Formats: sequence, C-alpha cells, structure tokens
Amino acid sequence: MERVESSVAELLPFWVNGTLAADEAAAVAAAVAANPGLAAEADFLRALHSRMQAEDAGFSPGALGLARLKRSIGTPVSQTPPRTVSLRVVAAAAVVAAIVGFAANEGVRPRANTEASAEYVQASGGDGGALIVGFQGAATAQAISDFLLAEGVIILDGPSAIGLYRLAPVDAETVDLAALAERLQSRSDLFDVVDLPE
Amino acid sequence: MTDAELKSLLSRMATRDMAAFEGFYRAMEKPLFRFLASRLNDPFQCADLLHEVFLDVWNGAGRFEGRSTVKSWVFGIAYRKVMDHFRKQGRFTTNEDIPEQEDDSPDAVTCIAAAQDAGHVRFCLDGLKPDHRAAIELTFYEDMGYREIAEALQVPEGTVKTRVFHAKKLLMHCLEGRFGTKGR
Repeated sequence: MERVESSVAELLPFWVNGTLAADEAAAVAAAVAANPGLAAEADFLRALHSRMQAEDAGFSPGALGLARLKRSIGTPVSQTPPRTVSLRVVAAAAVVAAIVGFAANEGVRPRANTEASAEYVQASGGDGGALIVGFQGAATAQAISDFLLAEGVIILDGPSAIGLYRLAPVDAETVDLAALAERLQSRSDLFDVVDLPE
Repeated sequence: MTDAELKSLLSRMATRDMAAFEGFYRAMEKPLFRFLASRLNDPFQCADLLHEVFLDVWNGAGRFEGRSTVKSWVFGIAYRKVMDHFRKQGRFTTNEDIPEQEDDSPDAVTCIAAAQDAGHVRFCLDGLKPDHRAAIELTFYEDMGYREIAEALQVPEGTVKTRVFHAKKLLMHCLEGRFGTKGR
C-alpha cells in the first residue's frame, strides 16, 4: 500500500500537467480523492504549474537568431524589412534586441585576432551597404533608439564577439552611406566605432 | 503546437523547406532558449547553443524517425549540447540522489501562497541541482510526460519520476521558508 502511495506521489506532477495515460490518471485521481494530503499537494503543484506557465522565456534571440541561422544554412537574408511593417516598430525591436545583448555573433568576425585596429569580414559575405559600429558604453538604449529611429537605420545583427553591430538604412537605395557614416561619427556620445564597408 | 504539427514541419524541413523551418523556429525558440538559459546563465552562450541546436535540427530533420516526440528529440539535443559545453569547460554535475526528508512535510497551503509569487518560485528553482531542475522545468514549463523527459535526458523513466518528486519536495521546503521569512 505504501509502495502504491509512493508511486502515486511520483505521478502527481504528471497528473497535474495532463500527460499521464488514462489508466495512470484514473489511479492518481482515485488516490487524490481518498487522501487529503495528496489533494493538498496536487493543489500546490497546480499553483506551481500555473506560475511557471505564466513566466516569460525572457529575451531570446528571436528574429535575429533566425537571420543568423539562415546565413549559416546558406539562405539569403533580406536586409530590407518588408514595407508593410512599421519602420518605428522594426527599428525599436532591433534596438531592444541588440541592447539586451542576445544576438548573433557570427555576423562580424575579426580577420586579425584581437587587436583593436583589426579589420572585419562578414561571415555571410559582403556587407551589402551596412555600417559596422560599436556603441559607447555610456550610451543609453533610449538615446540609441531615438537616434536610429530619426535616421531610419536598423540593426542587422550584433553584437559580435567583440561587441560590434551592423547597421543599415531601411531605405538603402536612396541613402548616401558615406554621409550617414559621417552623421554617426558626429555622435561620439553614442558611437565609438563607425566603419564603412570596403 | 501539437506533436503531429511539429512532426509535419520536420518532415517538410527534411525536404529543405525554409518556411517549415521558420515555423519550427517560432514554435520552439523560446522554450529551448529558456531551457538553455536556466542551465547556463549566460545569454551569449545560450544564443550560440540555441543556434547549434537549430542547425542540428535542420541538418538532422531527415533522420528523425518519429519514435519519440519531437520535443523529446529537440530537448535531448539541447541537453547534450549543454553537457558537452560543461565538459569542455571542465564543469560537471553530480547525479547522487538527495536523502528523503520523511515526516517533514511542508505545509501545502503555505506553499501554495508562496507559489503565487514569481520571485519566490524563481529563487527556489535556482537552488535546485541541475538534474532536478531540468526534470521539473520540462514537466511544468513544457508539459512533457515522464516518458518524453526520460528520452530527452536519456535516463530511465523511474529516474525522471524520482527527480521530479525530489524537486517538488525541495521546492515546497524552499517556498515554505521564503514565505515564512519574506512573504507574510
């Protein structure tokens, strides 16, 4: 009898999450109905289950992670977001994703190990009109977000292993990249590195 | 997303269907990331391992035979990635069972009250050993059955049930203590 109770107690969490086979579930239900102690444990497990289900997974790589995977798989990744998506939403999402720091770090790789002046080459090939930048440590997410939104620039990926990001104008066909780079360089409060593609 | 739907996506991925891969990624990315994050506590490393898991899924989709659920298979890949990572770093986890704490049952009502507080639950989950934590997280975050978890973690079904049982007991003790000192 004790062995049966022990077995039921071990099955209780799986009864609560609804994964037991019908015969197992029936046995647990009968035991819970007959034993107030088990019923109280079941109530606790339901509360725990509800609480854990309500927990968010946190900041995962999301769209940037998918873009990184596509590069690894060899599928071309569009660098211009769909026109149907609000620029503000795209840019804000990219900034937030980048600032919290969950992103691809294969997008930019040092060509010459760790020297500060090392050149960089895109793991996915050419830059396709992207700027490589590093943010000032003291720059706030809000300030960066405001600037990028005002300039119509999105973060394509980053940070790399050494903390660099690739940025590109949403309207890549009409924006003068060199002029844009100059405007970024003028904001030394936000950027400590701004490199044009070769 | 049901197991049948995930299997359907996998079979399409086996024919290099990128739309299916995107659907699979959207369905599994957050659960997998949470699973990795609770083990590694390093978002950059988690992002890298997540990347590797999805690459393995993409490359191995054609070899999935459907003998386990898709979740078992995918979480199994993630779990082995974490173990490999720990081995490379010289970290290891112990598997010894913790002693039973008989006749020391926490008050369930107090535990239920404490379990309403996300901070208490997170704190107590953090205090579990990795094996126990993995088992109870797959049970309650992912709603996986003990057979699925056993396949994912590659341990006997009885071991999963025991780990979840002990994890539950430890959580109850922890939550009771948290509520007693901070929750009132």
